[in-house]
Amino acid sequence: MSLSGSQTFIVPKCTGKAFRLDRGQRFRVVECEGKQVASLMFFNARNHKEQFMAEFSGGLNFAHPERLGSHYRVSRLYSKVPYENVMLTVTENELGDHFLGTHCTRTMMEVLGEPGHRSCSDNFTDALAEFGIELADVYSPSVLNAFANVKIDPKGQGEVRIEPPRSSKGDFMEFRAEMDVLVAVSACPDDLTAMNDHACKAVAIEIFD
Amino acid sequence: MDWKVVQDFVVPKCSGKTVRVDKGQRLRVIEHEGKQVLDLTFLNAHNYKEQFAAEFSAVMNSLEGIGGYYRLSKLYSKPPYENVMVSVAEDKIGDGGRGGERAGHFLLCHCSKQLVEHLGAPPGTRTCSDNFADAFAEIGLEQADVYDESIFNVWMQSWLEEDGSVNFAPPLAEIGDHMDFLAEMDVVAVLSVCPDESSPCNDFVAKALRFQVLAPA
Repeated sequence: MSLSGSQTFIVPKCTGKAFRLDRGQRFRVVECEGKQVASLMFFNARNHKEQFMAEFSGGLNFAHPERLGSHYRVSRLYSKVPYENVMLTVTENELGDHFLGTHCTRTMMEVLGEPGHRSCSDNFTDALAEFGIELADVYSPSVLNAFANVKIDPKGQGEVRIEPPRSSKGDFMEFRAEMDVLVAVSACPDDLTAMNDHACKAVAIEIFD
Repeated sequence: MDWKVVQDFVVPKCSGKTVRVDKGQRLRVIEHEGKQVLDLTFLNAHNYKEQFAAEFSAVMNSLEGIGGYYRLSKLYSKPPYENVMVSVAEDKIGDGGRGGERAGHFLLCHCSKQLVEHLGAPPGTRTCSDNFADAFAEIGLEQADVYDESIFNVWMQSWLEEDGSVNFAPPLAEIGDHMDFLAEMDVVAVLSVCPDESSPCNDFVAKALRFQVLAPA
């Protein structure tokens, strides 16, 4: 695979990484193997309390007079109340699949029958440590789960349906930073559900000036 | 078990409030005038950083087969805590007591400044964000310190279609209907009586809600 970014790195399977992005820079999260979810958190680089609100951004995109997107295809990523600023814009998303909702956690692995199994919480804890952010300082486990093929049942209790990703090697999602942001990415370590097609893989990040 | 009422109060329309509920007590939410949504979140009374995580709870309950985005049995706190803060003890609407295609609650966003402005409301229109800001101020918190964006919208009939569009219908709950939450730890319940009058959420009229705190008799 040719990587054309000014800075490119691999996020190995079952690990996390955080990096700074200046306003105006773009980054791509790339399927370097395919069928692997990349969970993404965003912070205002100058005020770590201003954090991306995933599920709410879907509603704000849908409510916008120009109908910018929806829960299942978001285009503007907003920060939490009381800020409600556009932190990033989705500039390319050909496949279109993502899930605006929780990442996997320690307790989720317990419910799935594998206590102690690695989760995105571990990846984010590792990734954010170098920026001095603890998981307790992250307001919500809701993230942008790129390439996740997850839907909410429109009826009944509203259960989630997790299907294997439809993504192939080379698929990517591209974002433009609308403020200086800190990005944390987790190569989701869930091999217990269909989330990553039952096999954990790496993802790649390309940063463009 | 018999229960005695230890607190009984009405929260006026379009306002917010906090109430302490000790472990083992119940918070009862009552339709005072009917078809009114409550936006509800919980904080650990001894560590305000431990907050209810709605969408996380929706996925957890779904994996456990006891709920989803339109109904919960267990209300979990955010990582790294992930404790069951509160459990649902009585839920007539969620149990299908008034019919409906879905359980009749909503675990996604509340109304905010940006949301209502996107929907065409004039600047300054009151939202649940304002109610929550007032409520948090009662316990010395600023909104920047709390993640109240994804909360338990009690009786809110909203849902996501397969294409991601959001739909609304009036609440199924009528005057006198109630829902009970059992505190599994000492919690502060944060209440927003939703001020929206632009959608079917509150059947186009904002109203008051009544609350009781119940203790074992």
